[in-house]
Amino acid sequence: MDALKQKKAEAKSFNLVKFLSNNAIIILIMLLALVVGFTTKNFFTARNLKNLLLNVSPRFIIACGVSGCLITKGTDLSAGRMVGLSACLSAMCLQQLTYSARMLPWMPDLPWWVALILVMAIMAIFGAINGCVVAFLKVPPFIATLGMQTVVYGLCSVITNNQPMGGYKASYLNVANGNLFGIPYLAIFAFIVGVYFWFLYNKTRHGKFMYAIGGNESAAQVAGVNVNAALIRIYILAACMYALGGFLVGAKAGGASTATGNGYELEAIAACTIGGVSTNGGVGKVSGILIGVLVFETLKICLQFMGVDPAYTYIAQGLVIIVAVALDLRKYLAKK
Amino acid sequence: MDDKQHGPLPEEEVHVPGNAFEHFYEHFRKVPLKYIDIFIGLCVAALALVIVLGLLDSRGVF
Repeated sequence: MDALKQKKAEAKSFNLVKFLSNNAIIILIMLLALVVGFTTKNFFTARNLKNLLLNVSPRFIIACGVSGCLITKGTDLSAGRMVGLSACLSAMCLQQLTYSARMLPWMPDLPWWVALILVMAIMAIFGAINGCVVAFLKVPPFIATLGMQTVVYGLCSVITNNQPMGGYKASYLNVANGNLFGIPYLAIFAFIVGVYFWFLYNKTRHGKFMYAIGGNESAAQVAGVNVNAALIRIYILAACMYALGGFLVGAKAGGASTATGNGYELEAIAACTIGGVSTNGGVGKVSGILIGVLVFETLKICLQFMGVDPAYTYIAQGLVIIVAVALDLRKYLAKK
Repeated sequence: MDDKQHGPLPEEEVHVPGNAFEHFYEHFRKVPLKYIDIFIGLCVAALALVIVLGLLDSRGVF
């Protein structure tokens, strides 16, 4: 009984070492932000905060998509290129009718939301292919999505002739630049996606299946989970999120090209890992993903404010990803 | 001739081909936590070094 009481007391007492090891990167980058904030001008300003919010919003949506794959012990390396293809398809649908360099002159004047649905439907097909390859052919997600990444990039190059696109309709640009009572539309999109994913992960059967598959796929199958169907759903949903992310990234940039979205998959996976989504599967929360994206973007902004050479920024980002995975591994080994 | 009965033969184990990424963390099961901590420490030190080098490079020190 005493041992039980002691265990309960230990569980209740605050364990500083555990807290530090669980949140090491977040604490490290927040400290960096404080140092940068107090040593440089204009860091703690409303404008910079808004800029951070605008950068975080599409990345959070993309990270939410990838999180489902990671929770089921998978990954999606095609995310970035799908974002690029979505941005290009959105651009093709939503160029001004009077724009001289229109990519598709025959395209009728579509409302932005019709274009968004169209792009999401097209991306869902790619997601379904990813899901089928992973679920039925048992191809490791790493390889399957790497192949899809190249296919999507090639397709994007073919349909755009490697030409950058611009000349968007005002209604499309307004999706990224507009705001509702001072809150940018981009943030509203991200908020809706966040709430949707929270509900999906915590309150639905699909969410429980997802965590079960990530924890132990064989056990989930024995327990009656239709693993294949769940995996296909996860990859389709992820692709739809990349489509939404690409649509918003295109609107925010005011243009799109085959280079759009390059490297977004690693940013999204890194943000998820920093936010506590285990690459070993079965673990992850939407709040953690949001924190991960915020921390990763804060790091980028901090390095920019410090005036660090952009080439070194990539090295720093890579090291942060390695540390995040090492910490996740440490947590896993400490539990065993 | 050995006629001993050994009971029903065990079913053949179904071997699903694995890959390098499945149960990846299990490969580190025997690695002491101390080494992981040292590795993390080294990475953090490298991160600090990269930031300092990036700062110096952007200011034309080298």
